[in-house]
Amino acid sequence: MLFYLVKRLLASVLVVLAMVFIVTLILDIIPGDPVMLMLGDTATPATIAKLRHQLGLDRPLLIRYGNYVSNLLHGDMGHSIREMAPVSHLIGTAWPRTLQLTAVAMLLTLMVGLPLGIISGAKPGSLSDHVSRVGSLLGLCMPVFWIGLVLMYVFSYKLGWFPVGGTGTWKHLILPAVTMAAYTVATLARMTRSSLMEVLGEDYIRTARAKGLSYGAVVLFHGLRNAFIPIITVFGMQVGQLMGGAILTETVFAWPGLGRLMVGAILDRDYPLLQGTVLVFASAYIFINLLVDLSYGLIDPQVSQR
Amino acid sequence: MKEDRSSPLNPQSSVLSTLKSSRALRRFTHNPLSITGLILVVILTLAAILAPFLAPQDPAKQSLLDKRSLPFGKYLLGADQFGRDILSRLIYGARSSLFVAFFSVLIALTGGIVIGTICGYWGGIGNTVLMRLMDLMLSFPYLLLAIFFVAALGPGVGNTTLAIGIWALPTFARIVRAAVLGIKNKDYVTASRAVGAPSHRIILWHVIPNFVAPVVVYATLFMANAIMMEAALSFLGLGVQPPTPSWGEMISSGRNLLMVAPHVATIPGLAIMLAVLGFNLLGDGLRDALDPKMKTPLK
Repeated sequence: MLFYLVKRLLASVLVVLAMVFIVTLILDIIPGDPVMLMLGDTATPATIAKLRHQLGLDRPLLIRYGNYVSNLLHGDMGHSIREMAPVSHLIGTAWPRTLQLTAVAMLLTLMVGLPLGIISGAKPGSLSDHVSRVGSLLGLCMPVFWIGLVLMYVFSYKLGWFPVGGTGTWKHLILPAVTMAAYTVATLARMTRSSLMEVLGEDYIRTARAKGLSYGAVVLFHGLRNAFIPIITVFGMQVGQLMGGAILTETVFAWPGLGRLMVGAILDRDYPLLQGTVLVFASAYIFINLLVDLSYGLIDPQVSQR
Repeated sequence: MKEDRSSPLNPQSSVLSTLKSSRALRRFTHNPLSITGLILVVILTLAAILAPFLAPQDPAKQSLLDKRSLPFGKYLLGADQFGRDILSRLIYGARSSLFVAFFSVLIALTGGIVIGTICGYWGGIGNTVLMRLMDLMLSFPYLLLAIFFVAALGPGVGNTTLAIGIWALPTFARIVRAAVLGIKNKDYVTASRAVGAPSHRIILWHVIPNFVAPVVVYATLFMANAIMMEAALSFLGLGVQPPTPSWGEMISSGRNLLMVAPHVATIPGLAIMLAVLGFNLLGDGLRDALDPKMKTPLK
């Protein structure tokens, strides 16, 4: 198990390093000079050369990549062009806010999506199953940012229950978190339903029923436990979805998190900041997927023996 | 060539002949959800193709007297902050959406089939390197890679299409590769090789026709994703650029009017929802019709 853990950790670090390389490479080969874009057409050749040197763009790709990685190890992610501040500082301020939002949305996903899926999957064809299936299908088809706007209109403008945007109290958190969770709740409910239905057709479920256990107990203790692996996998993938959703949700609700920082960096062509935000998002995603893989061993003893 | 395809060497048939077989067709037409999906997709496609004939107004025509006018008045769906007819803009927006979705899926499909087939059929070092690269692209969270590509390439219809296509390519490559790995050891491929057929012929006549069904299903489902992605990118201001009408951009520009004229931002969202729903239902229907095994056994 320890060997597996170390192996997976090393592999994840390699993937992150490769990602940094791809990001550097793409920023390198894109048409158009970022420096020209930053300075505009009126810049003199001297200023352009100076900024190129400052950003290290006059050095070869591999050297720049090496420098970036070695600076990264020292906690230095470069300097934001637009904000005139270290990227690590900007990300350090924004990251906890995105994490907070994602955590609440994950919690909501588990608290709503899982029960919905269980109710649906335990009694396929029932009224509650139909309601939850239609609901989750619609949830999958609605754009995140649109859900956010509709919620904002109803609950902020019309009912006045929650603030329109910004951050501060728990009230600020509710609408963005619900917006982000809509898609993941729908996916998790659908996955739980189909996974549970598949398991409930197995022989050991019939055995458990035959020995006199109630249907509810069989679903919860025999069905759900065996249905958990695909559910957890989907949940892990949903975290990536949540992060993408964070970019859109933060834009809608003016939530000063990492997603908004990234969109700003794109619009302003602030490449060091863009590189940093992409890196943090991607590493977080890889790390969570690592946790998901490790959790298989806890749920299914057969996995950890392999 | 025709005799060759119906020969006993190739017992499975292509997607077209599968569809023609009355069983698959019956499975498809007897499912009300698939038909709903098909109708939605047909309406959307017609709207996109016939936009100049269907749109009651010029989508760019501004009429400041009518700005923010409510639905069911002079305009069926009202007008936006510049007095432009929302219905006409929705119809033209279907054009942007479908154009981006269709061509991005085409890019992903072509690239995916080429990479997946090569990797699956020949294997070797190139296979490992390419598939690791695909895995790497898949390990970026949803939306991030597409956003990043658009950020690098710059906004616009063409670049958005390319970005979504590149984003989707690894998934198609994986699906195709997995299918090819299964097919290449089938008896009919071995038999074909035994009679001396060259690789390109085996691939064209025996391998590709046999993975068309799952790939078509996935491509249909992916159209829904691509429409959603285009809307998201345009909403962020990175996709289709104004004044070209696009649903995501319409929502984005209607945002500031949410309090005074909520219909400007909400109506395009309904269009996105119906389009995504249509492709999802159609994709599910095709999957159930073409490959009943993929369906969950219990109802």
